Amino acid sequence: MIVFEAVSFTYPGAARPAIADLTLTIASASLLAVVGANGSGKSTLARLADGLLVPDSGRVMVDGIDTADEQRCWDVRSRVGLVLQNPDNQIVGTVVEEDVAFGPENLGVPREELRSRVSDALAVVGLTGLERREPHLLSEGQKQRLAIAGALAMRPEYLVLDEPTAMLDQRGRTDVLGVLDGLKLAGRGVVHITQDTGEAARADLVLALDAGSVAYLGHPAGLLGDASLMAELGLEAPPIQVIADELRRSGFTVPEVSTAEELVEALWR
Amino acid sequence: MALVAKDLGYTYSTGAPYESRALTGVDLRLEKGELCLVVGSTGSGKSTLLRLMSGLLEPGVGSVRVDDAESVVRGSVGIVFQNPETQFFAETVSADVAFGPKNLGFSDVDTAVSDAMLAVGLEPVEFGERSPFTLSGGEARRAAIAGVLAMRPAYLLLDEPTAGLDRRGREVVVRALLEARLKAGVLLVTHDPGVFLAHADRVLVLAAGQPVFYGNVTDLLEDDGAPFDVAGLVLPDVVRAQVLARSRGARIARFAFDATDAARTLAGALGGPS
Amino acid sequence: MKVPVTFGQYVPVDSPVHSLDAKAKMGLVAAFTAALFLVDGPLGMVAAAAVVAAAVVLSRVPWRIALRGIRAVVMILMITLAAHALRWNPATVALVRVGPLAVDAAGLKEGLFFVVRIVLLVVGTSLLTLTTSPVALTDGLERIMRPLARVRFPASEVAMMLTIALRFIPTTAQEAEKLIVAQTARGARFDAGGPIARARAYAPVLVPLFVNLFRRADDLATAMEARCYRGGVGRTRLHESRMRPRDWAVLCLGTLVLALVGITL
Repeated sequence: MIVFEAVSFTYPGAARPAIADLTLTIASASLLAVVGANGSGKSTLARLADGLLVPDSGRVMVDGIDTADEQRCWDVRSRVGLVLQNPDNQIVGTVVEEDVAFGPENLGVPREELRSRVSDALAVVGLTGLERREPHLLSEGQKQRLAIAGALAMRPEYLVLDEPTAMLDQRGRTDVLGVLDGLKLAGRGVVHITQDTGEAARADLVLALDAGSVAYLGHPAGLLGDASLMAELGLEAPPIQVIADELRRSGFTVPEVSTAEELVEALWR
Repeated sequence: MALVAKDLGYTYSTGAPYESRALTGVDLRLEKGELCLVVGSTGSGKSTLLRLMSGLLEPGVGSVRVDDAESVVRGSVGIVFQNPETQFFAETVSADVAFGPKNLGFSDVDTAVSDAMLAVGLEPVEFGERSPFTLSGGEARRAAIAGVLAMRPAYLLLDEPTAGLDRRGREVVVRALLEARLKAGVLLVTHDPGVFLAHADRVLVLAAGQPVFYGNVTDLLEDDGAPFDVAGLVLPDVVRAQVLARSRGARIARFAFDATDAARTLAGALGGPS
Repeated sequence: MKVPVTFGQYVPVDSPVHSLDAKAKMGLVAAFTAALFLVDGPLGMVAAAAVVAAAVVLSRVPWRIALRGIRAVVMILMITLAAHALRWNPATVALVRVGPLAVDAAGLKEGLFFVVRIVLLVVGTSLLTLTTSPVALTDGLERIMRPLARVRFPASEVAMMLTIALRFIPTTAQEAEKLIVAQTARGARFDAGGPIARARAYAPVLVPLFVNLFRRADDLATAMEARCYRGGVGRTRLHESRMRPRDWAVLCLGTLVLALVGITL
């Protein structure tokens, strides 16, 4: 588990805290979505979970290790994989397999195991066969999946992804979401930071941040069903949800639906 | 008076072993005051089309004409690239916006700058003297668009103008573009047409460099949005719900593009609560 | 848009020269350079030329590309030749004489000797970068520099620096191209005016290029830290080129031959 205990963090020189009094538990084999407008503290949360930032007050415990413990910071970082927003800025290797190997190389993994880690990670994200490709010749979706593979090769217990689908088209998006679902099934704790409430609806738990504070923490339906809270947070409700709510308000009986197919199936049986 | 592409085609690195055909046989007409959408997935040739239409690339095949001139006239077509806020260089927003009109030798640079900033909803007094590097996502995107609008282009081309913005950022950019349409023809390229479908006069769907549909939104949806499938794209959920309902026999005369309106349309088709 | 950025000079084909370990190739280049400077007769030059020609043929690098490096040194070649061959009002008999300017036979011979030496040096050494991928090259460099770690030279860090530079050169080139196009679309002209005006015209490209580079560097540092990079200590490598018996054999025999050429001819 990653446990945030009353965590606050203020960037040097900033007027207000980026994260204020946050308490949160991130469990294994689960998918947590983090939503909020730009500047609500989502990226700061990611860096706190990974120990790249250390709380000003409160503490973050990763499997019982305090991220403030400098002696064990590499333990923390090898347990928590972090994928930043722009894949282009985090690919280190000059070819795909070199980049995937970068993390485990730093952990001192022996060469024979490096091979298998690289091929396993590439298989998970569906990039097998592109081992020798140069990163700048990959598509945006492939780059994003390469960045994920780079984190996976460290065999982390938790994976934190900062808006991994923001720049992708439909196909790239579907691919990445599929990878996240697979990771959760494989027992990893996945934290998915996103602007898209439709993506957040797929999570087990959703955290909404507003100016660094928790505005909502619970089942996605509770947030998505609260139109006024959504508007306050600068979030856009998934359109299917809005349609279903409107229809209910007009007296129709509509069950819980999340896709256009489900909605139409429910209405035109 | 229009920006017209005829049988447009382009091949990168012609003759080289890695030659790649980016675009073939595109016909497109953009009138002033119109909004035209070009949709396609990554690698469909959208960005190449924008570069050709703006005159930055010479067409390999076919032609691009502006207002019946033989080629693209300098200053008549403005282009806003993806993430244009990464192109700021000046110390203040107004200096950055002034770059284009100054280069074109405008005599009323200041007016052009303040008009453009107002058009995108950035108050010149409030934002003019700020550093462009301190703006929020939506503000920065609009300032970058103002930098092109200030050149008073008759046609404005944009590549993914709302990508990466949050809800508020998207809303203000959409409003700015609809405003810009009052004075210019607006062509925008995107893989997620979303809200723009409601306002589009014409849509061009590209798949692997080939046009698979060109026409108005009603015609696009006539065939349950089949061109979108061909291009590997998905219709916005709001529209898809209505398309699916119609395929199940619901009578839908006009499509709604807003979720609340769509609920009303579906309720009408259902004929009241059972 | 995907423009294949042909990076550096590497010619990606399979050949015995390509498959030779980078360190062996570096060793051979060093031996070759030494031999070239030891040789003091035309026969030695012919032998050295034969070695270079054989290597180029073996490497399957097209002659056109193998000789491309000479273009960069044409000026140097001409100056070298002129400095040796041309005489001003010589008292001795000259081959050709135009007014006070004369071409001296002995000087010409000497000049040609130096020109051939430079040409062979350029072609021979460029064969290293033509047949070794940048990755293998940095790897090899790191291994060669490793003994220097004992005198606190950060060999592994320097190699990482080179790798990152190699990784980001194409990305930065693509970005510069995008910026040039974007600012051209805003009416910028990069070809007008004198050198100062032209340099100033690049500010709208260079400023955002650097701003974005710093932003990128910030992200990259975070990403590297998140992936547990802490310098070279305790780091393993996916590809660590090892000298196989074949590489040692080629290196030793090659050096021997080159030493013989250098000393005897």
